[in-house]
Amino acid sequence: MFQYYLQLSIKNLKRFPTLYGLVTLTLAIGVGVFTANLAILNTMASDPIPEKSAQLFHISINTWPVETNRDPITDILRYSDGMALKQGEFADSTVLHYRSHAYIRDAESKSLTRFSSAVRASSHQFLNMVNAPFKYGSTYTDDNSRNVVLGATMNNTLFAGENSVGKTLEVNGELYTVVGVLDEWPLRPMFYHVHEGLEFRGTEDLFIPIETALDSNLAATVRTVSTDNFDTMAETRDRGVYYLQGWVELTNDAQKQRFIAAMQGHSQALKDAGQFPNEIITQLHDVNEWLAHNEVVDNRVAAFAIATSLFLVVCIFNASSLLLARYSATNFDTALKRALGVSKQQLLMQGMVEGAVTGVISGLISLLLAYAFLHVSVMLLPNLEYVAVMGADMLLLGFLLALFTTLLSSLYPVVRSRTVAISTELKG
Amino acid sequence: MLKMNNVSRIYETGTVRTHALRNFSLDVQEGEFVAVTGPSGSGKSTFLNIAGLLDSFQQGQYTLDGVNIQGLNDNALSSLRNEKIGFIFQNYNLIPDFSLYDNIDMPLRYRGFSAKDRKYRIEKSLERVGLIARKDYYPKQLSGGQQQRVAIARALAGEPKILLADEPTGNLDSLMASQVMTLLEELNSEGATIIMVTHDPDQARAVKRNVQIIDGEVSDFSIYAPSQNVSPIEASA
Repeated sequence: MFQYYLQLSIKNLKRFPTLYGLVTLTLAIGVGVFTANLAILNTMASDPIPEKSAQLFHISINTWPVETNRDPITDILRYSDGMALKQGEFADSTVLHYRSHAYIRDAESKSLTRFSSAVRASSHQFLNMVNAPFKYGSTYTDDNSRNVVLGATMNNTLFAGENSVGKTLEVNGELYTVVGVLDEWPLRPMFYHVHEGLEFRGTEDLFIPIETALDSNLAATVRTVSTDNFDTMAETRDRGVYYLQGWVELTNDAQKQRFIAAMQGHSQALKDAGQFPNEIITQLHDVNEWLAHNEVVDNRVAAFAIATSLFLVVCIFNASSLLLARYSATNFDTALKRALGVSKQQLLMQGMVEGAVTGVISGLISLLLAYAFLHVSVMLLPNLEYVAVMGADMLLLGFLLALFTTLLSSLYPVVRSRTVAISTELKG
Repeated sequence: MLKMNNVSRIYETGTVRTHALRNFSLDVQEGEFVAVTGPSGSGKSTFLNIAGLLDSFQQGQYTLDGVNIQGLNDNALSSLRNEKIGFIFQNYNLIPDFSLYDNIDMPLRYRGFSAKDRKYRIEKSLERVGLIARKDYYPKQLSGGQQQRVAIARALAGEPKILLADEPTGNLDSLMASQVMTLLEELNSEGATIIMVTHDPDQARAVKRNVQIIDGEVSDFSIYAPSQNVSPIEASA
């Protein structure tokens, strides 16, 4: 019977091409806009490292050495505070890192062109802690070594994507050895650094050991707050300069409590030494808590999502009224079918199959439109480049949504058509 | 075959109550050809709608081929309509976008016959009305009389227990009307039970039994063409 319903549906689509064209287009636009917006929202709100997001914690601690009534700075650390927590070995893995910038080139290349590169200076445990995917080699194992890891894009630029492990890089005029090359790493959001709009800019081109970076004077290109003057990055080791991100991996609650106690102990020790006059604040946020705390999901995008969902509702109502017109135009057919023994249930099934066929067409068009809307969004707002992506899950969701909304739009017209006055229609 | 006992149908519009059928009783035996006549608004259509399970009634009992239809849900009524009743309408009521074959095929599809069985039934019924050569034609390519024959073929294909004809010749000229009436008479002689609503006294006279409805009641009955095989009409007001 399904096959017959399908045949009748296709016949009806051909019979009312303009009307069905409008219905599918109306719903496709509504679903397309909504899906595109949902894709952006989904990227922003997604868990970037679900396999261990509950085990990784951002370290927030107040160690500001001057008495103040202003909001305390807790989200970035001094080198001395970070190292005190790291070297105390209160957890298996504690990392410090900061964002920098350098010009780099293949030291063995004849070309002298240097490429502008985003650099992450980090403790050697960092790349393994954040599950960075390696294509070749592995991470550096010494914070003072001159070994580095290349991101996939920069490896493509410098070495045409070949295995560059063992190659020598010139970074701001100094030589380093490549020990690892990352695979494509579309970390969205880049949870380990969610300030300064970096959360959706993509992962870095180069990863370098933190101590080496400080000694090589690779400047912090992120928010830096200081109570002391400094001329070189190496000087930040023992001065009041706040710029480091601190993350710790804790696999159970006991470890977490132990680390919090260590943070509080550190703050208290500073207070006891007269180096910290303010309120003790120590916080650990896991990945998702940290993303929420920093409002990574743009409120404007969330508001737009509400607006697009309302637009979708309007589209459903419009499609439904168009379908009412379509079914009113076939009251005779419905009455005849009823007279010849077609039950209301069978008419409902027929209507739903017709809705599903329309929904499939609408779904395909809506996906094309969703892609187009994402493309336009990036053109208008280039900052969305790393956010405006549509994965297989969103494709499926968009398609199913189109199917569902079409069936929903069809439901009332179909149910209403079944109540047609049979004898009146057939007498007409 | 069809038995109505004290059936009443009242339509209410605001404060106005209209008795379309009033304690209507009728017993039609298998193989009968009954003509139902009466003036406009007398209740003929209401009777036919109730007989065809297209309308409900408030009082009385109605049994079709041994099935008491009271309390049946839409699925059961639709199924009964599909299996036991063949409709022939004044306006033919063919779907213009369907070929003759597809028009006849439609009710058979919903009944769940196999493709082979449907083909056999469609071709047999089209053959019976003399239109097998035009099975792929569309209704607009046929004359009114031919369209009515297709409608009869559609009614016959399901091998119903009873044919309900609502002024089947009302839209036809005399020649075509005569051909259609001849066809119906032949079907009746082959054993089909037919109830035909008509305004035409000549047609009523031509069939075996005649029921006259006035103001929703059976006012009288006449047998224009008495037959030994026909039972008297049981009717009461």
